[in-house]
Amino acid sequence: MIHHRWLTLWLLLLGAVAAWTAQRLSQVQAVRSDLLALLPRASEQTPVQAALEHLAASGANRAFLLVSSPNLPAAIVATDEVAASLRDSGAFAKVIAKLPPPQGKAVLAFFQHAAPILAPTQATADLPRRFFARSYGTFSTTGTLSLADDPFGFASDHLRSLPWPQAALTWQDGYLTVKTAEYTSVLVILELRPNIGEYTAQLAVAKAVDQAERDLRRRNPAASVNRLGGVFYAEAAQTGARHDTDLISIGSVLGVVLLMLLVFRSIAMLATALASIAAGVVGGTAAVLLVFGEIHLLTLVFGVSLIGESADYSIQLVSAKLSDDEERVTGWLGRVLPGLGMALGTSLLGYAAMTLVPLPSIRQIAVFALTGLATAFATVVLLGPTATGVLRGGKVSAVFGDLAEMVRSLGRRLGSKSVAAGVLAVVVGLCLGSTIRTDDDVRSLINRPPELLRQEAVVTQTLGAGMSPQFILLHPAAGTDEACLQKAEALHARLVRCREAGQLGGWISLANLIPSISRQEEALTAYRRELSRERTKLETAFNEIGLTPKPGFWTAEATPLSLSDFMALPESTPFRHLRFRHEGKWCHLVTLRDVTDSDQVRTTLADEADITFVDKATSISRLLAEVRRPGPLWIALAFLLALSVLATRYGVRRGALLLLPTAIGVAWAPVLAAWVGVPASVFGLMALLLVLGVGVNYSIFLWEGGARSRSALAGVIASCLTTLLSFGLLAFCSMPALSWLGTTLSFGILVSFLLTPLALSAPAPHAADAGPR
Amino acid sequence: MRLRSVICWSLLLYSYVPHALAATPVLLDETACREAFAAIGRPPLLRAEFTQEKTLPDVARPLRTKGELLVSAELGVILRTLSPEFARSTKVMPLSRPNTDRPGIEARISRMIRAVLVGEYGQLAEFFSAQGRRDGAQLHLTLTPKSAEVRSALQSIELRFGTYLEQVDINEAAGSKVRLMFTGFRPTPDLSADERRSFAEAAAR
Repeated sequence: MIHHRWLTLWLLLLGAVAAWTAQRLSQVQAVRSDLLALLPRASEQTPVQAALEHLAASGANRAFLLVSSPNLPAAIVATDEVAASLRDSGAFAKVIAKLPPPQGKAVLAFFQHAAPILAPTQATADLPRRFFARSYGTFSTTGTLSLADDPFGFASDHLRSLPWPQAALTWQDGYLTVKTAEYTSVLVILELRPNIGEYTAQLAVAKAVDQAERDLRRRNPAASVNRLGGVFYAEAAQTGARHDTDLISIGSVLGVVLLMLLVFRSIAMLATALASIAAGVVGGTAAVLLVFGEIHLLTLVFGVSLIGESADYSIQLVSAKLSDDEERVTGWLGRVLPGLGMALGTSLLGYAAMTLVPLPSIRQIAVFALTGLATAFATVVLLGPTATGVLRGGKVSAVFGDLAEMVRSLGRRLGSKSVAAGVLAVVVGLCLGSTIRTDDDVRSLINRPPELLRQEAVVTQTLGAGMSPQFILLHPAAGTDEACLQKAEALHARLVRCREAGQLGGWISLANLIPSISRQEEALTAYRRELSRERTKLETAFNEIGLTPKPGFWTAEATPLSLSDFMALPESTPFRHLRFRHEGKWCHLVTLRDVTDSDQVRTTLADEADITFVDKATSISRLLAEVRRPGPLWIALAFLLALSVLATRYGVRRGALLLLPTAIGVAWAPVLAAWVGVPASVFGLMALLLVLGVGVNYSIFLWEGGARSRSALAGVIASCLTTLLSFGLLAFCSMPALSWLGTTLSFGILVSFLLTPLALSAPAPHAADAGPR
Repeated sequence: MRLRSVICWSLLLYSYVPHALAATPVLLDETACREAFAAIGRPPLLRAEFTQEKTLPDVARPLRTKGELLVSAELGVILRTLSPEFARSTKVMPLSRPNTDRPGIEARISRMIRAVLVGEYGQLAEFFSAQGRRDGAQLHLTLTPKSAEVRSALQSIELRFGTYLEQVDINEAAGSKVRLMFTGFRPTPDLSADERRSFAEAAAR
């Protein structure tokens, strides 16, 4: 009666958690697919995190297409067709194919009276020479300020040097075009809808572009459309992950159903297994959402691969019940629970070790697994007795029974020589494993389709916009624009040094647009000094050509230029992402182009506390390598820990024997995985920890009951097959990191399982002193 | 910057215009302008004298300068202002230049000049629509910017060809006018070492 009350309460609790989880998952921000969400958030460097999120948000609401054709008229026709098709799709907030050029007049007006404060601060300006060069030069005044406003060209030179990002593009009849040797291309700007974080909106965008491209290619085979934008990667990641979760969940559930029916022929236990799987997935997802506030697709994909493992407890339960029926003994539940608990303990140990990896995504997986497996276990324990109560006629099928008999007899024949051979296999595996190629690139965590990468390369190459992922963050304690601009100016000489050394191609800084107030004052002082010194010569020069200086020219009165005022101009839009507020303070970004030596640039630039060179991907990849390198030590410690847990129930010697098949699996899994092209990585290390946590279960199950009964042994085989199925399917998923993990894990578990009879080797498993304590 | 390239284009045309022109004034459409352009020959090296007259809205009288022009089909253009003494300067426009902080602008100019050298009218036609007139031995071309971006700096460019390019008139949007007149055209066999160095330095900047 009490048991039923607990069961009812548990099921109610699970129902409530499932409802809450479904509600949270329906929220846009709950499921993440981007690389940023996978990386550690350095709490001690919150401005860096804020800068990364600011940059991501700045680029999140736009995407770009480059429509190309062999000549301009054809490219314009193609662009109009593509734009019309995209507008008709309704997937975009706005499709911009034609747009007016920036109003140069507004920018000219902004700098009209700024010549004195844009003068050089250091070298002698040589005003008369500059005046004559500007007056008489062939191109000296075209498209710039008038001679009277800027007689020496200081403001005009500044205007010409403004780093407009569209410098590679040309306006042709309102279209932004660029010509290469083979094609003329037109840039199309796509403004995305506010709900672009939702998969349906991302899918609509990708489908609309695909359709427009197909229609265009049908009419004009020589035309092409290349795309650039985070939305395309997000869509590809979501689509890939959905495919992966479908593949793994459907495949695993079908596998579990088939095995339960084939091996045990029990509908009641099948229901228990499915309930425990569902409880595990719900519990894991809810725990991740509670702890992290969000869940990454990577976690969801891995989470469903736990289906195979969470089915183990049901399988062991039913096999224990059938085994009891064979042996006609009572108290089966009390006998099977300690072994199941031990199996759960070792699995949790493996996943707990994963929480030490400094990546939120891995920690998410660990939390998912820890909670999911515990929930599945609790469900089996509470639901199992009721289910087995209605178990009628359950019986191990003949094929599995024979297979079990073979394993049992093999185990009986194994002796100390086999154990020695096993130890030797571990040593050989470790030696071979040390020669495997490594890959610590953090980008393996996300699915980056080669076709999208190719198109991105085409767009950036055509536009000449080879912006590097690295940037410099200026976050002075004062938190003002002025402090940031002064920092950027102080950085200038070092950036020039890096460029001259070939370590970077260029940069864009807000200090390129508006000098700091202190620099402006310095320039004004120097300008007034020069003006006073050269006044006689200048008056002669002005008379020579007939120029009447504007009122106030000789006193050089000038209002300081303000960055905020410039940022208020519509023309400043291309530069607005270079500035953001964090905790009430202004921070500036300096974006870099064509960084060829990240380490050198970092060393040269970032030697002050408020100047940070940000190269997130490289620093995280380096961190992953640092985690991977001491991997063998981690695994050795995990084995010691597992041995100490097993020793409490089985003694040291038997505990070591129970671990031996898993040790061989751990030693050989990377070698076998490398054979199919999987490099050594931190994900391989995770897999090995999981091989330890999961693989040892089979030895435990076998020792606990499998060696005595066909049913129990068949249960071990079924457990292994369901786990192998789930993790094996993981090997086929689109995210490289999960695929590597799944491959290594599958090989490890397979080897551990095949060598499980070693756990039964001498002393005889049936000897009273060798049994579970 | 486009203006500069158009002037370079004009200077390069200086030596390429066909000698024999029709006696009766004939209006030329875009196609005829393209064909006239395509018929131009390409000597490897040309020198001439130039006179520039610049009229600025803020300045009471026209500003006159004189100097030398050098056109190298291989390397680019040098404009050397020799008088008045206080305005002496040298402007070098190389054909090739590696990427700098502003790759787009510089690369575009290089592309356009190269287009003129190889007779690729299409490059110029991207920025300007052309109308022409043949009047006896003379050819007049008027280039009008196609895009609002160029129109914000330039109203039009007029080219007059006799035996060679004789005159370029640049009418700027802000009211300034520049007239370049060329005389004394002569081909010479080689560039001096200084000229080669100037091209190399400008290309490396």
